[in-house]
Amino acid sequence: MNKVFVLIFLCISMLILAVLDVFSGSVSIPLSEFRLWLSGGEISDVFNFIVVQSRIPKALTAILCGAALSLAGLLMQTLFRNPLAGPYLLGISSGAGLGVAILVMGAGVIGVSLATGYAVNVASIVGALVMMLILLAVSFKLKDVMTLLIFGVMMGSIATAIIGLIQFFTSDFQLKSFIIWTLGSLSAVSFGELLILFIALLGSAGYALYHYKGLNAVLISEDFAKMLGIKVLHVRISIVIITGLLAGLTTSFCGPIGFVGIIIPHLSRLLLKSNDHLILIPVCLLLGANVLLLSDILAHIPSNGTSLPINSITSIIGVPIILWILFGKKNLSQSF
Amino acid sequence: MDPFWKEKSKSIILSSTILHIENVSVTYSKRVNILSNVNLSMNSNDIIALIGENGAGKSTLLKSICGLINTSSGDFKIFDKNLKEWDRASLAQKMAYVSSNENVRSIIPVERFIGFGRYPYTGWMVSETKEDAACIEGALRLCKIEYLKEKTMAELSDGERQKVYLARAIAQNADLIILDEPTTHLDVKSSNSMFKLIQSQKESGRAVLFSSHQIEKAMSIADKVWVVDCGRVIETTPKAFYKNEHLKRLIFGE
Repeated sequence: MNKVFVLIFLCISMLILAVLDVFSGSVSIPLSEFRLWLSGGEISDVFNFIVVQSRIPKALTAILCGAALSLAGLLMQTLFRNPLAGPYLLGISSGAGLGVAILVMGAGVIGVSLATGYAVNVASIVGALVMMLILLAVSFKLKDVMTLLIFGVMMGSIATAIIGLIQFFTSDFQLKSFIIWTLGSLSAVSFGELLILFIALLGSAGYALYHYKGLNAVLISEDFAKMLGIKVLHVRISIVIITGLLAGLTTSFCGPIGFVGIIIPHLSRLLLKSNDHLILIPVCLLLGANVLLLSDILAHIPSNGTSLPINSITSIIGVPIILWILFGKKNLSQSF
Repeated sequence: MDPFWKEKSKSIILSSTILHIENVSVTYSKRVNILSNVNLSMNSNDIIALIGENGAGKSTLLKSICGLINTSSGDFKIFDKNLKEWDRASLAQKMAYVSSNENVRSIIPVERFIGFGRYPYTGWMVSETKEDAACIEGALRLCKIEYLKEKTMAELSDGERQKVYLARAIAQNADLIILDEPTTHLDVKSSNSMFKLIQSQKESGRAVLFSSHQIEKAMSIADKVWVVDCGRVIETTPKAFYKNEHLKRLIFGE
């Protein structure tokens, strides 16, 4: 019952936060306008532009990206059996960024503009997948929690360094569009892109949930899973594909968003006091949506017409939680 | 006794060969022979103690039976079928294994962890059936650890954890249970109750192959003894073992 309660609570809080997110911002929207819109009446252009075209997609983006990053983080932690794994810290987001940088600025060098639409998404997913495969290959050699983490951080640094080199040789215009992208933003995601993210998330979450037993067993150990008849290689490969897809897509739509993927699985385990993926996956999805909505609301606090970059907000929330995890647990590799 | 387990023991009336090890060799980095030309067999309802020095190859033998490490030659026949021909999920219904370095300290509830033993029986996404619940309950009762049900794996002592591993293997309802050093790190009381539990598996019609360094205790419950010595494995009985000066010297030293 306790678990059902957590799920219901997270659903309700997500709805409340979504409504708050739509209402918060530099332009306040009168309630009467909402009533009018909901009853199908004539609405003003301002309302249409701000709420329907901008704030509602933004709230939906927060929900979908938060859920997608959290699921990616959870699956990575299970795959690497490492409590500090996550798309941002292990350099998956940087890999996606490198993919986009090569596309946006590299295409500029040869004089064609590929920097729009789905080409960016594909480049981002390819970048994330390549990084994920490198990490997977290395994780067979480096079993230690900390060594793998350091390797991931180094790979992220290399990706960032290469991005820096590319930046040096590109035009101001392309540089600016790339820099803005790296700050992370939940706006500027179209309904079409949201639909793609929704389908990818639905498929991934459904698949992960369907294979929850495999995930539970793989988390214990590979031999353990094999002796229970789990197809370990199958589970490993599908986790790599799912995390590459989800981290790549969210990064391409919103830029790198840090620390959501790593902290949400921990908070979920803390909330549930269980490591069972059957319940952990839905709670992770909902909690991730909640936290990113909250971050977006916090980003509106200056209320002078601008909003803070979402990546800064999630990092400010996320880093203390990671430090708390690091300091609070005696034996990191065994106790999660 | 639980009615469920009784039914199982009735179904095995005649003892038959459940494990056949034929000419198995395991080499390490192509030079060092860990096991060479091992020929052994195990009957249903056998309790076999595997003894030998540290690094003699006990774990290697157990792991290779489970197909977790590759052999350089030879075959394992498990229930009259070659190990490589088994589908892993069907094999898991016949054979359960608890590794010596299994160290589960995650925050999974004990009951759910024992439920992992039911995975070979349930399809994807299917939640526990009544039979699964009965098996989990039965395993908890058999190992006398009902009181741990609500705890998580992170909160257990070493002795309790070892019992939970065995309970998981029992819940798997396999005919052959392989335990790699189930009594290491346990105090006298816990290891005594562990040996009793292993012995009681016979009543439920299961065969157990376990490795141990507690020779006297292991001998007192085993039907047969496999002694690993320089890559060879010698089969004997507890009685014959104590009469054999060579084997005694091998295990106890001068």
